[in-house]
Amino acid sequence: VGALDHLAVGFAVAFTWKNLFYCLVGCVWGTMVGVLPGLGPLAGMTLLLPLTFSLDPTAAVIMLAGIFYGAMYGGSTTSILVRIPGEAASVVTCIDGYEMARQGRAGPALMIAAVGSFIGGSLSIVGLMLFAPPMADAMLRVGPAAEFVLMVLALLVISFVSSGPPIKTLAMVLLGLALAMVGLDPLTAWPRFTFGQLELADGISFVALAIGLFGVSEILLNLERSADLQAIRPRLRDLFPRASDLREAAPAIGRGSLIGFVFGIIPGVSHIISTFVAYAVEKRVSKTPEAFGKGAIAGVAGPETANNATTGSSMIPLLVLGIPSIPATAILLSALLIHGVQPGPQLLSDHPEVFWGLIASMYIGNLILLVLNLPLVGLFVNLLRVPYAYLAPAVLLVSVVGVYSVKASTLDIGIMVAAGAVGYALRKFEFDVAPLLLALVLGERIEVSFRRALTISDGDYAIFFRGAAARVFIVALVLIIVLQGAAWALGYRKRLAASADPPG
Amino acid sequence: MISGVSSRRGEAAVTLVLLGVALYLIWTARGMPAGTVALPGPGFFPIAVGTLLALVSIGILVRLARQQDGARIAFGHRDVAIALGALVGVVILFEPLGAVVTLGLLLFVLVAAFARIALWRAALGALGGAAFAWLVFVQLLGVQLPRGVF
Repeated sequence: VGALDHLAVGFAVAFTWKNLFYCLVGCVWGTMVGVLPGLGPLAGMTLLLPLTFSLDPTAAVIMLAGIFYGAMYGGSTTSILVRIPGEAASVVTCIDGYEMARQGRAGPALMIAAVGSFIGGSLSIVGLMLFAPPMADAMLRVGPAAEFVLMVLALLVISFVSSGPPIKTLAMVLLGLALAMVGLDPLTAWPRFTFGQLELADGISFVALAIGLFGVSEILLNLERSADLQAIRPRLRDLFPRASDLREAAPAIGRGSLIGFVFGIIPGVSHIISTFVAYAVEKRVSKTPEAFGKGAIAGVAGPETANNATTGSSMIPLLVLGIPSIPATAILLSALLIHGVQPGPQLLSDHPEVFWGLIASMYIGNLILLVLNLPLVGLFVNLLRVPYAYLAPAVLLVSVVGVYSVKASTLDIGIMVAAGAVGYALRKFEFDVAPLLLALVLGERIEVSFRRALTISDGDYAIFFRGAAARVFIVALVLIIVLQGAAWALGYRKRLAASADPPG
Repeated sequence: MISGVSSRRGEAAVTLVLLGVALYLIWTARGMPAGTVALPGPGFFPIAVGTLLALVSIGILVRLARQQDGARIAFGHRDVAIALGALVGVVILFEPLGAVVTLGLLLFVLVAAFARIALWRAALGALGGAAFAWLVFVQLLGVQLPRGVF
């Protein structure tokens, strides 16, 4: 009953004209960046991040979250109609979704993807609503030593589940921690690595770095492979699936919801893993596994549902622990911090309007997206006609203005350009930049909790291995590694590599 | 295509830069108070992170030394070089020339280079784009941008 009361308050917050407007803007922009190959949720969120500074924290986070889950919906459209994933988590949908489209069944594929996304997204919000408050209560009793262990575990897990070799991802985590140290020392105000620049006293601008690493580098990479896209055009009257499609898709949507929810809580590339696991599970339980790869509707329903269920549950580590598990939630964290709201166990008591307003807006946003992605799918497909030669300059212009608008700093534009060039080189040679961003966001808290814990224990390192909380986190680590091992055993990496380069 | 590099050489170059960053961290942190284990100072964490980054970088280099030379990776596409060059130009010109003129120039260079259309068409497009950006960002959203020569 308590959660429902809080949710009612959340709906009162979300149902204001202003918040509904920003939810709609987020969903529309998210669908657009999701549809456009090469502009995923990260670029979409970082590009609009500076514009949220003039908003109140609830409206800001509602809009950014709308972009995040809107992109997940939009990404499936491009996968199904063009066989190019609009964003990374839609890679699996290309396999059977495009085959269905080739057989003249693009409509049912889009419909099932949208309905599955809606159900998965909505169920995961219910899970978020039920699990977050008790977890936040438990987290309030955690001290700096356990907090340090938890954050290090999160970064280590990210290193081990990333798509590249763990040692390279670990290097990116350490580089992120190094960048987080630029500025005044949080405990003594000693200037570190500022090169005498007063503008760097506050640290490196997160917005400049994020837009550079994800937005600019993405544009640069896409400039190398820009080619005309040929989309299969769906007919609206063919949208509705057959009864046999529904019978096949319904259990896949149920399983996808569960898989997506579980994987969303785990730090790392949870969206991609959850979709691959959902696909593998559907193929394994299917009575006709030979139909997979040839247009099986369960091969669309399972992964797309899992993808969106992951979005809701990935909010749990962010809102309850204050720890972003994926780059998109790192951007949400940064937006909240800029507004003076600290995500974590005290968020529910200190800023209930933000927490419950966000949850309520996600229900509304999922409905908006269901409406946007079915009747208006033709409109979004038209976006694919915009030549990249015009799209890329426009995005770069918005990036420049967005970064400058934060602190009116030309240095930040320089940082963005440098981060774009570095991100381009890193991604070319398969260094995953997502862990770098997560480490950058967590860096200061890791250092502060580490130093505070040592001060409390009078220099005794054993403090990091004592107490119930530390033991729970170590058990959690073992569980996470087992789960990721299962994902590995299901061959998601091999499938990722195979699907990333689909045969012509 | 401007050039291509072997994946192994490229990875090694990136890793050497990372090693350089690690050594810089350690070297610079020597000038900061390290404190004690019971009361770590501002230099404590940079030395720890720098040392770990150096060890991991050496680990990557050892791993690369044991590998066969991999496939060649296209690096430094013409359009990438133009985009980066234009963005560096923005950093230099943004304050002295003003945002609208600089952004107009950015659009002109990029559209002319990427779309390969007639220069007058690119100029017309850039003019329209810069005017639209001014209308949306300055007039509608109230973003404060440098006025420069205007």
